[in-house]
Amino acid sequence: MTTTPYGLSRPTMDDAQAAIMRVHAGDGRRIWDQLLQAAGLTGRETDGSALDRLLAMMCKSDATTRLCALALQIRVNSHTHLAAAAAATARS
Amino acid sequence: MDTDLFDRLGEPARIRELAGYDLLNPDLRTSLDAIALRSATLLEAPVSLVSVVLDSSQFILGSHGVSGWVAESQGTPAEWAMCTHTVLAGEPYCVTDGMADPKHAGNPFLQMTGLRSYLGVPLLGADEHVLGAHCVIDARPRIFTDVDLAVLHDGAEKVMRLLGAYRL
Repeated sequence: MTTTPYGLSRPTMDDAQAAIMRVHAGDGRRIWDQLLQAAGLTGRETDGSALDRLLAMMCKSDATTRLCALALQIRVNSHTHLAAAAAATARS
Repeated sequence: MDTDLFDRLGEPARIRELAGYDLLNPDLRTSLDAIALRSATLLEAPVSLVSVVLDSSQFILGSHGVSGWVAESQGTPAEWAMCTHTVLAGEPYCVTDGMADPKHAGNPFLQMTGLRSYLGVPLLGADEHVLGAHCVIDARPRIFTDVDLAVLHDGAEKVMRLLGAYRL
């Protein structure tokens, strides 16, 4: 997992699962399993591309799951921008 | 990640209510940008936001004066968002000088943007959940007035009337 100077980590599959369980409460496990199956994932992946596939699947799901995906995507985008800025600063 | 904070923000009934709005509608964004511009102009503030706070991020629905990574991401991590405090408080939230306030001095959002003062009012949904906030943020320490607060309350009422037209 990479971090920025401000301590922001790129979200992981575990973070995505925690978000689904949080906002769907009792239905969380079922919805998580459906998302994994639809995305062809196991949930144990650690690479960023797996999360990207999952987020794409979440964006096609119910409205609450789409908001979950939106929140995670904002964190991904924030991390990407800040990590790039930190790397540029380190090079200069 | 700050799971305690996210659990508080991610209360299922609140997120379900948020999910009942067409938050990504471009026409909604245009109208909310106009409300943010109005509040920024009236309060002579460089930045104004209309945002909802999701479980782990602030999502900016409309804005004035936002640039850089915040604009490109259309939001910020929830733990950095000043509006998170307004949502959790459920009432107006004011920071006179974030750099001098131990609660906010370490906030990366303030550090990176150079913004220092904040006044926000909650956006109350039909089901009494606090969905987000309407705020102004200034680059200088600032003591906000009751008139400033009234302007934001007026803006928040306009926001909620508008959002009502975008229920799914």
